[in-house]
Amino acid sequence: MSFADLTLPVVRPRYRGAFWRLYKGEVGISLRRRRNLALLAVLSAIPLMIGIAVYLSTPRAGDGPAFLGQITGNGLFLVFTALTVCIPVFLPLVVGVVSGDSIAGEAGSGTLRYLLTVPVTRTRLLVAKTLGVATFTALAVAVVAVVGLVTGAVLFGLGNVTLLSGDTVSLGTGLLRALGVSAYVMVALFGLAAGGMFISTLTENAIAAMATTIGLVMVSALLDAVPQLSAIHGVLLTHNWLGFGEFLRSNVDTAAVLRWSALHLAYAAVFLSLAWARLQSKDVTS
Amino acid sequence: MTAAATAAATTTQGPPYDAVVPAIRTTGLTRRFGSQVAVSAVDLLVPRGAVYGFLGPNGSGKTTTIRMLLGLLAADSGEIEMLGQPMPDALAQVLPRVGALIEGPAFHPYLTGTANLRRLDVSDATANPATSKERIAAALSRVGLTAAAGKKYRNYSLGMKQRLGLAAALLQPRDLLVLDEPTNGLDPQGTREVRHLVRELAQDGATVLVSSHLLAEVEQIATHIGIMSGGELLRQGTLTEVLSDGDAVVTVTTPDLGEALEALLLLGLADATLDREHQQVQARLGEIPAEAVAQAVINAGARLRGLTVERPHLEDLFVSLTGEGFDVLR
Amino acid sequence: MTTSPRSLRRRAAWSAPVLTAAAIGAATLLPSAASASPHPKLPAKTAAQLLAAVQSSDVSTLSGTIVETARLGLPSLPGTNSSAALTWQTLVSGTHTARVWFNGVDQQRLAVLGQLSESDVVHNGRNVWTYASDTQAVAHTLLPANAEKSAATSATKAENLQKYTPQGAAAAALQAITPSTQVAVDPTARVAGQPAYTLVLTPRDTRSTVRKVAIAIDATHNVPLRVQVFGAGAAPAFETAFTNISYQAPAASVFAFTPPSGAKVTNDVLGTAAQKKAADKLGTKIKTGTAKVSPTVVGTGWTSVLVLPASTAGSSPLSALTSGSTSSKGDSPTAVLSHLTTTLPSGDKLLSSALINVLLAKDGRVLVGAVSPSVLEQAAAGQPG
Repeated sequence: MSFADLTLPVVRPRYRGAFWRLYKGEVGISLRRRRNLALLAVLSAIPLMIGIAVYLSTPRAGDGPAFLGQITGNGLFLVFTALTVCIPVFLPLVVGVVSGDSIAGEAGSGTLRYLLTVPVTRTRLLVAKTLGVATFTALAVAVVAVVGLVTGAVLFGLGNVTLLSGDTVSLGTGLLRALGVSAYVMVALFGLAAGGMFISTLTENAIAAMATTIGLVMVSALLDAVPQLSAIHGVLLTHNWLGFGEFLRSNVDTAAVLRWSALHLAYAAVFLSLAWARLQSKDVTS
Repeated sequence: MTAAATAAATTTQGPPYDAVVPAIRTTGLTRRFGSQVAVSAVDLLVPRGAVYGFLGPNGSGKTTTIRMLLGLLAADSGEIEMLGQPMPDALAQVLPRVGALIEGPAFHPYLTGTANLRRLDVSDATANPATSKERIAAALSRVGLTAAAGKKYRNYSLGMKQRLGLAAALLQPRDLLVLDEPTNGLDPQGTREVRHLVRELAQDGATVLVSSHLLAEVEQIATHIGIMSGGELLRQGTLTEVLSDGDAVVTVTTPDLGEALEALLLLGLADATLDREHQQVQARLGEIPAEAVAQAVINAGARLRGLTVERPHLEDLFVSLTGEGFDVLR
Repeated sequence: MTTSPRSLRRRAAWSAPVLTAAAIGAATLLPSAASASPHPKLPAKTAAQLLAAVQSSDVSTLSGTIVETARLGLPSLPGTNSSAALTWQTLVSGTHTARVWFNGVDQQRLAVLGQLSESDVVHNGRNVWTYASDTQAVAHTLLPANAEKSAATSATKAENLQKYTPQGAAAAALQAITPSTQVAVDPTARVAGQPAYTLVLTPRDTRSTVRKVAIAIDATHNVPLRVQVFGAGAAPAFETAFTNISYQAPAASVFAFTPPSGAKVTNDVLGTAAQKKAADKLGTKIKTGTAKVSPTVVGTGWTSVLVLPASTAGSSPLSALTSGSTSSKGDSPTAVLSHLTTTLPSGDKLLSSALINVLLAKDGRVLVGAVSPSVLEQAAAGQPG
């Protein structure tokens, strides 16, 4: 290079698809991390274990978690059982780890300062991180559902689906409803993921952020169990998580599903705007 | 570099380069942490093309200043101009032209050196994705890390980590490099290489701000220096300017001490002292050229046996300014 | 320092979440405020006109969601909220949701919703199906062929289920109207989005724990939309209300029920010889005294007290307390109830709630009424108040 090279323009050109590359980089990193892969492996083991347990000892109707008794008749129910089992603890755990780590992990290891001086503006970084966490959340739910479906199909076969209302629908409709269930769970967990991201902007200690995020779920579940607080139950973070059951009724109350989804997204919007404000004003000292 | 050529070829005409605009200029830059003032009214001036040695003991506010320059910390008051543009408002336009190494390297331990650089490169909207591979390879080779490119970062030695940090700063052609302690953890060979690298970058026309605790090194490569202590910028300027602030001392060796002393006093030199044992007269040189002193001593009839002029070392200057040596932890 | 650019920028950033929360709050509250603030201005109506309108209501098709809430001041009993099962525990605590579909006298469906369960009753012509997702048990009842008779004799299940609908509850409350009740009409309510009149029944007898009963009636369709029973507290002690309602005929598919394959179906035919035989047997039992003695009602109107004789009450968890036996399980209903009872000087035990009081007499009788404890004591002592 010679001095003449400094006639490079003062504003460097931006290449097309820059945000897509940033997002892909985020997802790529989360999928190359051994810890995250282990989390997905644990999640995939749950439907597998339930499937094998049911295969070895046929449960009666009404035993254990919802839908357990129906698995032997139709492997598709393993998807619903697995999601029912995973949604109170395992899925929030995974979402808590990934979202709690998102900003705090980078701050703690110092990589945040290098990302910001690349530069990735803070707003861009938050959006890319949010999409990355959302992608991983969706992936976690999909892993449970797909492993459940495959395990159920292999061990028990698939067939027509008896809904909670007692009516029977075709396998195709049943699969569509399973898709609706999974999508709803993803949206529900996204509210939590956004909370985790906000908490993640508050600290440089990723473990603390993860623990606090998971604590958020526990506090919400606890408040939900106190009957004296029934007035606020409807707006609690975790209250409508099991609302996916709506997809398994004969007459799906679309308005209710949309209302609950709107609540999850409202949580996400508030948490993300808090995260944005915090990140904007954050001093990066690590 | 081919990458630079590509980037140059694909760009449109920007405003003309103006050598008069400094690379970095701050006015009244101040930052407090609670009641403690970390940086107090700092007016930093780094001219284009300079190699600016940024000196100061630990806790003097160097890193806080650097973090404010790069938009990591917000200033309480004062203004920052980098490459002619206000910061942090023009952060997105300025920082692609700035390579930085801040308080040591930081990368993802579970990724290889190459993967870590790729991660940073894909995050840069101004980096050409088509040349990403070559630029990463070039940066790695420039810091001598080609052999360890496929190794996981967690297995790197301290020196290798430092080199990877430098490579990250060199992924794109830069107009300004901000290198915080770039030789930290490097062996003498590595230190020499970094010195060479900085010279090379400066020759290419880049401005380099180096903070370092290796004073000798800064003396060797810096064209300008700034000395910070207690959050204040005590001295700043070209190396010669700053060093001349600390006066040179002239020592005249002669058996005729009385005549010599009289001559020096007549010239107006201050702080003259006699050393009868060594037959020497010493005084601060000030603005007087050394040959004028020699002439005056001879004219006074003293037998001039020797005359030396001693300019102070950066270290002496530093100690005299900050009241302490380097690497004093507060 | 407060005016430094840093703190200014900081303050500006934090306005984003504030605005977001405000926008969400506005989006949530404004529509309901808009529909609630202008009270519907309905023409004045007397209670008699209102009741007549309800009687003559020609609405035969509707669908909607009903939410039942009990605030009796009792703790929620373990495991009752998430279940769709209809038991006595589920109705005295917490909130329950059901969906109903009506299409004339021949087609009805009720679905009691649990979180991941559902209990359905489907009436379609001569068929009454019940299904519970928890047990996957299907019960099928074939009604007698005569359609009119079927409407009358579907009593057992259809009427049972109607008790939980506003219509059924309204009918029950209206029956209780006697000279002992003050009746008023308030034309400013809005329930499930519909403008409604509220029929307010206030007992004159202060010994009743019922402060007032409010029945909201759709102003256009004359359908009861909400029943609230107020006890001691400000919020209704018991409430059942539509949260949304539509008067359009539900799709025919709603009433078409086919039992799932593999489910165990119990069949029952009403009006057959076999049933008659069973009924005769029961009659004999009652005559010979082998059947349980039936409960009696003491008093009239708002201060009626239900007296369960000792032999009837013997099997109920309430009476377990009277004999002093307490379950070792801390969370059993019996244990929960034992914390709530107070022992009266007479040695009887009293279970007090916001609406209903229960007296567990020493002799094993159980007296229940929406009355003050003294009325129960008098009834127990054989002096009906």
